Amino acid sequence: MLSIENLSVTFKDRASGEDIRACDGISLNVEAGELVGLVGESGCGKSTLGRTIVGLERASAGRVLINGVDVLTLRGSRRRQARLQAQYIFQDPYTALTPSQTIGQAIDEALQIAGEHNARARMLRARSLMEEVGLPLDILERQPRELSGGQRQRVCIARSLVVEPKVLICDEPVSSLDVSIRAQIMNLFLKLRDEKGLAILFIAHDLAVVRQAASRVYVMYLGQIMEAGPSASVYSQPLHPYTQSLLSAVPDPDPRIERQRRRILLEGDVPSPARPPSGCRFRTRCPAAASICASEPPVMSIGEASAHCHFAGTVRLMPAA
Amino acid sequence: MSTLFRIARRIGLPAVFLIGFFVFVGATAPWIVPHDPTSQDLMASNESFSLEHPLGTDHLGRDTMSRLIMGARTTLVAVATVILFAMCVGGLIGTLSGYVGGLVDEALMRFVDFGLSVPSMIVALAVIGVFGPGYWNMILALTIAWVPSYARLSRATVAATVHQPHIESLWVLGASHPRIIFRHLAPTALSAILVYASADAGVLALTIATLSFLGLGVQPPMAEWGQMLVDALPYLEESPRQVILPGLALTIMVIGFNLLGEGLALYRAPRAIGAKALERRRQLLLREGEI
Repeated sequence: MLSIENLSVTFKDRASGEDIRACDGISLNVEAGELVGLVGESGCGKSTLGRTIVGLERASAGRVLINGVDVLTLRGSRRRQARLQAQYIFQDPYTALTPSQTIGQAIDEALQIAGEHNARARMLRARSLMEEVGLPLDILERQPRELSGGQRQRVCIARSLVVEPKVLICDEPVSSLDVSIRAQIMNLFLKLRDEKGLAILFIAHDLAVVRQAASRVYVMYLGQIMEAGPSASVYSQPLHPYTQSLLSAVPDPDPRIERQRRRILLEGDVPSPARPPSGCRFRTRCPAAASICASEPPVMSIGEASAHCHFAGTVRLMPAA
Repeated sequence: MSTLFRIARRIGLPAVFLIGFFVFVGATAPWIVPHDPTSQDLMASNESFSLEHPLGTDHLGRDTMSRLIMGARTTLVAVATVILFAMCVGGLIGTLSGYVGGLVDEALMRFVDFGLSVPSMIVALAVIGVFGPGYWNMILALTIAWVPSYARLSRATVAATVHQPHIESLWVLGASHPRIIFRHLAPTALSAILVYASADAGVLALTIATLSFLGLGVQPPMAEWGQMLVDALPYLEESPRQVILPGLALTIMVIGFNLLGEGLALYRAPRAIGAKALERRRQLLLREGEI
């Protein structure tokens, strides 16, 4: 349903004039009725990737296929039609709604934009959308500031459903919510995935959040995909040293295990995406880096689970004592 | 207590009453003037306070009170016209600049920088120098002089709003550029500009009086405060009343606009909720059975 091929997004740094490759040759795909996780640290380009899919950023190379149509090659109203198939859920539901509009007005406007001219039809549709996301009808009369974070995020989801999208890009949609609300919103996404057959790309900086919900996971580092595979295998047998170190940072709910847990601590900082390291992007921080890592960029291994590493699968980082 | 009065009280009653008074006087001027403000009576020139002429007459025997009242109208109309034009042009330039960004933004803002770097009075004088003195030329000159600050202000507001998720989400939903600009960005910019404009109106009123004082703005026999001042100047010693009255009117109007601007700015700013309002809200929730 959503297929991205070799997508690159380049920004020009105003101050230094350097090209910053926020996304560098990314390929991924999400099938209808599937929720796929995209994880990585802040600044690795995962949000840029999501924003490019819905047209908020300009791609410098590659293809974005939504429902088999390359959005980037189209122009004008055909491009608009194509990109509307993918909708975006923002991280912060507090700023994603116009403060001066009531919820009813916001959804009404979305329906107007979608070309529904009949006011009564818009009202009925707004009501059914509220029902769909599990909100009471009187919310329509409220201002955004009167709602809780979870309610606002539901409103944002309802509004994005106005155009009947096939793809939903969720940019850390639960990270600004209370932990108690997160599960409810996650369940809503799962419900939409199952009932509407939505293809959901779920962006998160936290592996634990997507562990339960995602069938497959992509791990990103410095603008590239490091590892991809079914959640089960990525979580139990991570192939890439970066994924291994990320997973070692996830706390365990059992205090006895947690006390004995050892983390893999990475040295140094993430390099500037303006001047990425030669060869493998991760080599400057990889405990298992060898000379080949600096001279040759690794290719993605092929298979169910694949990693962007010369030693995919053979390396197993040991936690520091 | 009516909502209108509550709003007025929050903005500040002195400001609202002062400007309200001037607006009322200006709007009804032709019907409330005791005499024709332009009709001369040389037999009754430079008269002091009297029943016939409550505030006296000027050197041509024109009724001072009538001229003060008509002067309020002239000033307010000129101020409103300039602010309206400057707000539309400046707001449009600023909104486009902030929305489009990039080279367009750079180019437009360098023009604005140029306009801001020259004092607006000098710009106005230059424009009048080219087109000649007169009422409409003064309006044009002041509009040109005032556009840059409105453009800069609205550009800043728009640039700060345009990348907020609530605007971006409209784009993702397929909203057109005009819809985003005119329904969402321009109103935000406008509300910021309005606060600035209400405080700025005082400066504008003063500039209009200055230009007319210099003989470059409003032309005789139209009644205007700056002109009344320059007409009265030769009689300063024998009849200071003629200088003091229009000067006082101008001062009060400028103070009124400044208070209004400050009140509006504070009105928009968030503030702590008072105990009374908190109790009212609690009662409301209780009645709705929510707590």
